[in-house]
Amino acid sequence: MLALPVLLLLALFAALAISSAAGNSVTGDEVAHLPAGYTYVRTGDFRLNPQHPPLAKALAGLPLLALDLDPVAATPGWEEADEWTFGREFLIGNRQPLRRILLLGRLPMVAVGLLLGALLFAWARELWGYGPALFVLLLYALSPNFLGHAALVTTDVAVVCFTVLALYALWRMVRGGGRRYAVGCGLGLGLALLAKYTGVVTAGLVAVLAAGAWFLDRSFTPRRAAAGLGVIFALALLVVALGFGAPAGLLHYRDGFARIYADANPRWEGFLWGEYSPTGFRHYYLLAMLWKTPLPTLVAFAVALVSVSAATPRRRVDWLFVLLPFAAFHAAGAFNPANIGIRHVLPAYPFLFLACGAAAARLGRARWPGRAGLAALCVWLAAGTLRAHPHYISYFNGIAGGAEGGIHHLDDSNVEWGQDYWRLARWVERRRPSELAVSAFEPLAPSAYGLDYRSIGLADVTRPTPGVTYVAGAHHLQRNSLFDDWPGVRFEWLRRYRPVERIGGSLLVYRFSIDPADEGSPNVVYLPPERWFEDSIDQLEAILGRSPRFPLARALLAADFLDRARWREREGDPEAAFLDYVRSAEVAGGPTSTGGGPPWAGDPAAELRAAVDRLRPALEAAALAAPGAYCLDGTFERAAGELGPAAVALLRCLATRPDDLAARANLARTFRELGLSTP
Amino acid sequence: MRDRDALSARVYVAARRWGRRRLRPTGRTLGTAVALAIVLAGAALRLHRLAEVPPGLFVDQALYGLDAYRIAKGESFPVFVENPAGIDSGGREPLFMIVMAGVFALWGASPTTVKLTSALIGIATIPVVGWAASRFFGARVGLLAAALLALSRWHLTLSRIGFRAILVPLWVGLVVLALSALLRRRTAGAAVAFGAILGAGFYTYPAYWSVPLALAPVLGVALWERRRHGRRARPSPAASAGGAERATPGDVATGAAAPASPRRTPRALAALAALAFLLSLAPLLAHAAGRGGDMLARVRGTAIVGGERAGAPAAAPEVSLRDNLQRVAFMLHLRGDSEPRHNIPGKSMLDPLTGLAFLLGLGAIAAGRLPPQEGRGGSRDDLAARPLAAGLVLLWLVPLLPSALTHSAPHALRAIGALPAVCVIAALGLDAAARSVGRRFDRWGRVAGVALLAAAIAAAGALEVRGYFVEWAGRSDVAAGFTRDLPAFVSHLSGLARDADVVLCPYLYESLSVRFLTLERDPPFLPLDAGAVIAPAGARDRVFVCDEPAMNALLLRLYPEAKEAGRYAIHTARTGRILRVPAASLHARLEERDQELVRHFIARIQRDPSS
Repeated sequence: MLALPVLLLLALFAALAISSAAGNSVTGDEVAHLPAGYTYVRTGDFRLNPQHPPLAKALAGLPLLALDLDPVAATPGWEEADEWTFGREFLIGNRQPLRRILLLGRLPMVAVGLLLGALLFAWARELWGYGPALFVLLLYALSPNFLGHAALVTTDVAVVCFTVLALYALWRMVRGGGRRYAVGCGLGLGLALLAKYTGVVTAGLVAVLAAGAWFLDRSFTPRRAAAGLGVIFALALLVVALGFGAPAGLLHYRDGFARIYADANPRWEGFLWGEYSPTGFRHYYLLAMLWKTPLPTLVAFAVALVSVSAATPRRRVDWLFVLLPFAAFHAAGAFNPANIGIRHVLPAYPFLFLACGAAAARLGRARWPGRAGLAALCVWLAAGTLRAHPHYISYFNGIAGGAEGGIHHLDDSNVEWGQDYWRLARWVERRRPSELAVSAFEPLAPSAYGLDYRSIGLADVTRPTPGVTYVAGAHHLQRNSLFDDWPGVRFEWLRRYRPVERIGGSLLVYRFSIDPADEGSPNVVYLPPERWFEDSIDQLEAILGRSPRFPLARALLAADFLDRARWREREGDPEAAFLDYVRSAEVAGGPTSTGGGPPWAGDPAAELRAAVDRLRPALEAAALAAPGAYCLDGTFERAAGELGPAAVALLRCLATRPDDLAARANLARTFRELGLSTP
Repeated sequence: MRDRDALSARVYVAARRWGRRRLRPTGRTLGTAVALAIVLAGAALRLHRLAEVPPGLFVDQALYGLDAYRIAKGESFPVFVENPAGIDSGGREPLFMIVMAGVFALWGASPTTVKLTSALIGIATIPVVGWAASRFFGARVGLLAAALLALSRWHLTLSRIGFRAILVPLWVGLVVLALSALLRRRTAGAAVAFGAILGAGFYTYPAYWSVPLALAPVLGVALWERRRHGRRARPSPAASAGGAERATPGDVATGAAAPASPRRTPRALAALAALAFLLSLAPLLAHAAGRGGDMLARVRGTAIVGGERAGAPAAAPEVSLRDNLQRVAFMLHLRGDSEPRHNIPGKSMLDPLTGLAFLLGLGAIAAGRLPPQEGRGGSRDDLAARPLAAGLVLLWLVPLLPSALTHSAPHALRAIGALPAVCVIAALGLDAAARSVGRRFDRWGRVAGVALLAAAIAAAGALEVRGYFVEWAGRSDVAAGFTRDLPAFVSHLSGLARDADVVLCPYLYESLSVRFLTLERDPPFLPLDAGAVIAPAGARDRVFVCDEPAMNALLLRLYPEAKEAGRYAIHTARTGRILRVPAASLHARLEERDQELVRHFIARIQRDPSS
């Protein structure tokens, strides 16, 4: 009877995780991990993806043995050991559908998640009793971070599971358990090391916790500690040696460890709450945990911390085993420059949950207000997690403003990892947009999901085309640069516009209109034409300020001025139109990295020449109203280096003083400097 | 060996003495010596290299300096300093400038004496906050709080700048001290003093407004607790005979204690305090009524409520508030003010050790582990424990609101009111840690506890001092933010003005900093107007100082004999030129067409200066 709630909670975890797994498209690392895992178990060859240990990948590959898949050797990328090419071909071009391969590969990860839940319950029960242990299991089973990442073929949840196994067994050993617990700890540690290189932190923790236990509890003698640690580390090394392919397993491990940052982009910059840093942020993971952990869990943790001060001497060892790993994994995170997702500190979470058991014990012992509070926390947690289903990867709590606000705080696998393409495909099928443009994290090209689309380019980013349906990923919207060679080119849409719709947790839909009839419509972002041009010019000028030789940006800016000039001319503002014609010619004639003209079809100089003829009567008519002043204005603007305004003023000046030779000479000089023939 | 034993025994005895909860006369002497040392250390840090760090003269410093100069000259004694027409920032509270006027009267008006005003206020704040903390939490916590404040980089930075926000921590300390006196004496004088000080704080800086807000609930709860205590346990006549020394919180309500001087009921005291508060505030209120609300222009201009981000309705105000609240919450430990003038960008406002002590202090408050009542320095002005803890937490949280509710959060100036409470909470954390160590290790525990405190304070101090004098003072953005080269530049121009007429571009001529740096000298500079260029009189060379390319081009066209006497880059990114026109050339008559051109140029520059 007592087992029933546990089984129900584990079943709930499995149901939520599997349904999320079934709906999620291929995420970032899965392109390499799942196919590599299949090759490990099919061929025993570990060449693909050595920068991550093989255990989790191999587990994911096991169910695929039951499928009739293309031969490994015949798949492109295998010979060259190019895991990304191989991975894409394996997933897209295989004789089995992508969805089937992916779901089967993800199921073992869910099983690892279930094992982790069971371990947590067992440990929490011994620490705090049955009721608090159920609470701990509830926190775990409804944790969006575990539901999200246990549904993916990655190494993150596996290392957590085996870390908990190792430290739980060590705790039992310290508490007077027999040698079998040293064996259990050694196995757990070996498996953790085989799951992810973060396992080295677990190895350090095993040694430090044993020493700490001896310090706090003298019944755990140095002799016992030394003997136990000897068994543990010997066994762990044996597991690693066997697991990475005997007899050279340890060498493989060492080589792989040396390539741990093989996938890192050297131009990548960490993003945290509006700031970018190439070296990351020390407090990144602390804030990530604050924003991505459900608030009821944080409340329970705060209550638990108050209980620490009342710990009995015997309890101190327990708290050491709960709080030290939590702190250690955070400390490791603080020195990890790769600020790419909460998943890197997932190993800290089980210990947070275990600590929360103390809160449950404390509240459970209290009278009805405490118990009611505990029940309220459970309901609050369940409501929040179920509401987030199945978009667990992009989950954020209320402090961050939910998933909608979270994208302003963090990026990468915290928000968008390629998980929503099937949802996008369904959305497109329903809505049938006339033209779809996409810019999002692409583990696989969107066409793999049957999407007919074009990529969002710089022209769309700065001056989106009305009528086009734009789908942008939350990660891309926050990236510090969309072009590796031209830093600082990024979307400013989050700052400037509100999305009209959201697909899944990570894709934002934008549609723009410059038609006044659409003002106030919730289905489009209405931009008055003036602002439409201004936003673009503003962004492009900033880009050129940072990268003056970026030819595409220069060409687009010239086009912006030209288009605005035409629009202004149509609107009956000849002076402003003329200025834009001049600016367009100026920008188009500026420096480019190619040395030749910009990659743009128009001819701003020709447009300007034509505009001079077209607009001169209108400019002259305006000038007649204030004779004389324009000659001085022209001289002034020329001296200040403003050629466009100088040309306008001098043209007007000559309309009223056709015999002003100085103005005529200045105008001729201005036109020459603009690269035009004398009017 | 014997010597070592004797030494350790002496250290032990000294530590024991200092650590005694109830300080005996010898302990008091030691405590006074430590307090004096802390104040001296704080003073040394605030005065060391004051002329060079921070460098230059920022425009706000100059603005305050000019206000103070007018006050010192007796030209005005304002209730509220209005801005000149055209500057829409709502004016300034005058108290800081009044203090500065006193400093000017003693040491003259200069960039250093502007900063000295802050430094003196900052130095005065250290003992006041320490004393106020000791009234409620004991001498040891008071000393620790004073030491943490003395070494705080946040307070050190603002103590050396010359901004009026530095008055807020001092006023928080004074208000709490006055409250302590009121609770202890319960006399009419104490009530009047409390009300007057509370009201006078409104003449310091808008961030102060949060302080009465923080205190109001505490006072309410304290009075309620006293009333409750009074009903529950009336003291016996014997206890009453013990007099004020042993008065319980309920005494105020019941009037049971035998007072040495006439004591009032809480209601009477509250009425007196409110009256004094209103009287001290009355001039400002009267002025505000006359201004029709314009005094709040600055507050309105910085508030996030109603502020929308550029463009489409992308950000609702509540999003900004949530964001601001988080940024303010993390300012102490993770990321502080990003303005280089106020803080090292990217750094937290507290050093890691003080930050940790602050968290320990919060933990101690949450766990109810405040110093034992008998250990609060022998004072008798205890509030009940809960309102005391709540009051301290409120005095930390509520003064953060001015930063949380305005743009550019976290803002070191707008949140400065929280600093005294932050230091006291951190001191409570250190005290709790020391007491914990003391309990655990018994005989040597006190020595270990004192050593722990000393080590923590020394390490925190070293981090903060290094952060300020090495890291912050060496930054180029700090130099740029304070226009480091401006005083030397103005001095150079003043040198030129000895044998030439120096004509400045409008932004330089109208610069408050330049105006302050040339106080009490006959205006040595001329404004760049048509007269200065077209019809120069006198037999002196004329030096034109301008970074307007068009203007310089014009001058060179008008006066080809002009020689470049130097270049400069002040305020703007553009390089300006110093053009010297020989006197002989100036007398050349300009053609009428050129004169028209010059007037047009000048008008353009004055209308639309590039800076």
